[in-house]
Amino acid sequence: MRHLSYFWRMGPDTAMFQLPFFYTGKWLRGPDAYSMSTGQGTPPAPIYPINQNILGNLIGWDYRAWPEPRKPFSLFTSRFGTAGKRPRGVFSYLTDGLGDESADSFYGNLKTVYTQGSNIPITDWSNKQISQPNLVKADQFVVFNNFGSTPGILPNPNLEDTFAFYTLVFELRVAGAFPDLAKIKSIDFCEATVDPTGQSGVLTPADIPESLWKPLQVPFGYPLVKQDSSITFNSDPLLAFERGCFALDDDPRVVQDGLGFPNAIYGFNALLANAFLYPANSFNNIKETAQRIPEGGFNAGQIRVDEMGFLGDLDYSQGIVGMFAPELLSANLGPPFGTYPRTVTAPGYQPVNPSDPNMGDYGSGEYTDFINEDSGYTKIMQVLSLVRYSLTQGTPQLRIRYYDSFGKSGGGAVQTTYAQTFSGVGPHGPITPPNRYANNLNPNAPLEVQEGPIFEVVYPNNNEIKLARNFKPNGFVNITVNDTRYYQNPDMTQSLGISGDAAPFPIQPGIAVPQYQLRPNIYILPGQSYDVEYTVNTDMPAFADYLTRVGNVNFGGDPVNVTVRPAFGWDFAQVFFDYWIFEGAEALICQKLLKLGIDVHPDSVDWYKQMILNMEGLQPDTYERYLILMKEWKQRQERLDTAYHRKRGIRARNR
Amino acid sequence: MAVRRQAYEWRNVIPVDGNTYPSFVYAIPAQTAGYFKATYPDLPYVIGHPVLNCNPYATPLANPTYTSTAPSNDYVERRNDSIAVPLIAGGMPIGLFTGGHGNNIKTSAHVLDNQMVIIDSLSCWPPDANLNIFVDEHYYYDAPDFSAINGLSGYTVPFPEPNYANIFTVESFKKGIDPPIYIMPGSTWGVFISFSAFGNFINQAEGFIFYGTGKQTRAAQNVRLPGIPSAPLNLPLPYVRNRKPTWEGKAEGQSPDSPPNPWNSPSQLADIKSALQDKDIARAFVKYLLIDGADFLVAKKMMDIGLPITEEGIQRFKQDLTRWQVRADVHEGNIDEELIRETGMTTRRSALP
Repeated sequence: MRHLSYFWRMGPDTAMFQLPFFYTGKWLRGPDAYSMSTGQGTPPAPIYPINQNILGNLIGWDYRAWPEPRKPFSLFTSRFGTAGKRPRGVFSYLTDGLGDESADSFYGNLKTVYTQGSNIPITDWSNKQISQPNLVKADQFVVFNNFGSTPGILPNPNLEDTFAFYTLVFELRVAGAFPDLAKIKSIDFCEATVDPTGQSGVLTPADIPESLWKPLQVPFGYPLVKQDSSITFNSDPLLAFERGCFALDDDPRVVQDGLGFPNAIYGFNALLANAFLYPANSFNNIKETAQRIPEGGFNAGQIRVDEMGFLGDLDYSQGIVGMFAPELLSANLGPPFGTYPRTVTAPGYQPVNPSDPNMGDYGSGEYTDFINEDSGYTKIMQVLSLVRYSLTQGTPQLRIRYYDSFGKSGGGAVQTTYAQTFSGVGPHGPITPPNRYANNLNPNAPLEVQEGPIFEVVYPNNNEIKLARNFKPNGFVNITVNDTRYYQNPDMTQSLGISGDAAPFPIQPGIAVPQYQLRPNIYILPGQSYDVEYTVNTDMPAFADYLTRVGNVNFGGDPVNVTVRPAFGWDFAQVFFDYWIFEGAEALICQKLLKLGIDVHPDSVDWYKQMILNMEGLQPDTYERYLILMKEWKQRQERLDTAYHRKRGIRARNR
Repeated sequence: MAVRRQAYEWRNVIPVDGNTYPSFVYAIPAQTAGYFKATYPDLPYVIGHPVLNCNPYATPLANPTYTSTAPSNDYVERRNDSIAVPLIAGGMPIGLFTGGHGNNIKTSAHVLDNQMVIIDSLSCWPPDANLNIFVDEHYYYDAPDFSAINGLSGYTVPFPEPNYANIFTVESFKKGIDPPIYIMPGSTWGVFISFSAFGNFINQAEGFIFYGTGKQTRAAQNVRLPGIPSAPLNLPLPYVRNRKPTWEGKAEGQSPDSPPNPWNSPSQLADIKSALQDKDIARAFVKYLLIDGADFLVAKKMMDIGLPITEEGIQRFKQDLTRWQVRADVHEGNIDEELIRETGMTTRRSALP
């Protein structure tokens, strides 16, 4: 016999948010951008970027991942939640899988597609939790012992104040005036708090242990495009866009790298990675959910600007992040939203009037005017916004390694740059663009502001947000044997089952036991199937509807109005149950006990086993022989007694 | 043929629909600042456990297009606007099954001819609520002089357990009701809950109703009282919740004479519904065994010979039957003596079920 348990849980697996700004990576997302180089098919036309609207779509909310309220679903075969499944190790009797079975292989290298020889699903968010129905085999006997689930009635979440976005700023220094000479070697991401006081030993991002950095996948070398203001509706966006400057080593379009100065002359587009496959975001999810070209072409009415999918499998060990290169200035939202130059007279970050002559010029990438140590180099600054998804989230860090020049003979020394991360509410800055040496100073300005434009990133609502988590499921557990549900109401109608308050899980501190325990147990006989159903009475999709109504312009909302956001990485519901499985001879004992009408549990099985062993024989007819012998012995004794009494008399015997 | 462990849970909470102006309500909505205060649907009960909405706005997405007006972004203060805890007058017994408050079932509980129900556990919330069982025309809990009594108090058997107030089931009820309550075939049964009723009266002249539980959901004007389907009455302070003695006040360390919670103060009732918590919801939990089939015959036999019928008792009895059977095969003479000694039954072994 084995005492087994099953622990099911579900919760949000993605960062969920509504973007109040444009991001420059909104074009050419997803696999549509794959075959954009010569020899790989027709370049897909990107979504037309004019007439941009910030729609405020609720990004990251997977409607399929939240159960419909009051509709029972199986803990085993529904698409909800996880049972924490892991691939079997060397002790598995299953057919060995093909490929890399290590846990690390599920995410990461796109070329490694995990397959297993059997049809056993091994990912914990696959659409089913087990590989076959819960059928009790002929030589088994299952006793369902007890269960519990998350308590709580009202959906009231925990609401915690925090900030909405991080800002990451990084600079690249590229040799020459043609940025496509250079090449990115790797982009790494991690979440680690840098402590300038030195107590943690991580003074700067460079001190972060190498093991924490996770490489960001760049799907097919997405170009970072920068909108050209001269673009017209009918122009080819691929040509009209000013591109970024870097390409990854493994970008399929730069297989002929090293062609010489500069690549662009030979028709190779300069690239900067702008779309990342994050550690918890698999390629398949990008493929499934990324924005597609709308049918019917790029009519203005079909533009879905900020529609994209960062939906990932639930992974409790890693977060999913939404990182964007925001086109903050192009937002159609008025001040105070956007990037603003600031005066440096005050220690605070005071946005100034954009018409202020002191503001100078600024942008995300500018030449450095060939002076000083930067002579002959181009400096590029990129501002990224990153969604904050959890209160426990570490500070996001970005590390880029690149060759500042790359040619036929390969690249030079690898340069490493780290992003500067801003966090907290309020404006993010100050940020000094790389063109501070340009002739954009106002000679008439006071001396203290003549260091050039310094700007800051200002988010809506002062970058404040309330993260909502721990909604209560208001859930009920029911057990199904074959096609019959166990629980019913006093009027013999179907019941949803037992609530998490009656049978809570996990057990909270207290001197009492939960109100409900499954006594007597439920038996699942050989040949029967069973299921554990869970019903959620909290309408979580309604919360998505609310957010959509508040933040989506198509529903009358405004993304700037969004003040609450669901957090990532909490458990919405948990269900636990345990059962005994008896196999082989013990299953036969269970059958015997059942026949006798005795409750089946380990004690009674042991009890019956002891009874059998007390027979001092293992033959099935031993006991009957023993009975016959006993009766014969009794009769013989009676005969002897009779004979004895005949001679001695009964009184003598009694003495 | 089985002994099945069943349970029924009652909660005094219902969803509300801000678009509905019901024909008969306990509270009529007050429309302020562009949104509807939550009102009850036609009656303050639903069949089965209701879905509780995470969208705080009672008004549904009737027109989910760009022409519709977006709700306020004040999620924090409005998060329970689509949920209501119906008011129940103090001292008024409310049936858990068909009492017209909270989640109900459609028909009363009736035990079929081949069934037997054994109620072995009751519990309720808040602690100053009480439960009483009726079987056909009889109440189970009586006062010592056999007069009417509220029944089993939530201080004795709280639900859930553990709870925020750290009130636990008293020792003598930890194993449930002992002996349990048998509901025999053909009987109708049910459970009443009643709430504390300090000053248990409805004085329309003064406009006061003392409520044992529930949460105010409307402004203190325009009230229709139950059973008076006439024009709304203009009552200055129609709802005054029972304040003393009250479990909330004790749990939060306030004196019994002061308003225990802000939302119990009549002047503030209407606007702070967001403070509603699980502990504010009245609840009851009834646990029972549903016995039918062959086990029903065993249970009847146990009743015949005077054995208490519990889940463990049925198991032990069946186990004993087996043991007696085995031992009788060995030594026929002793079985009846042991059986008589343990059960008082004088039937011979062959007559056992």
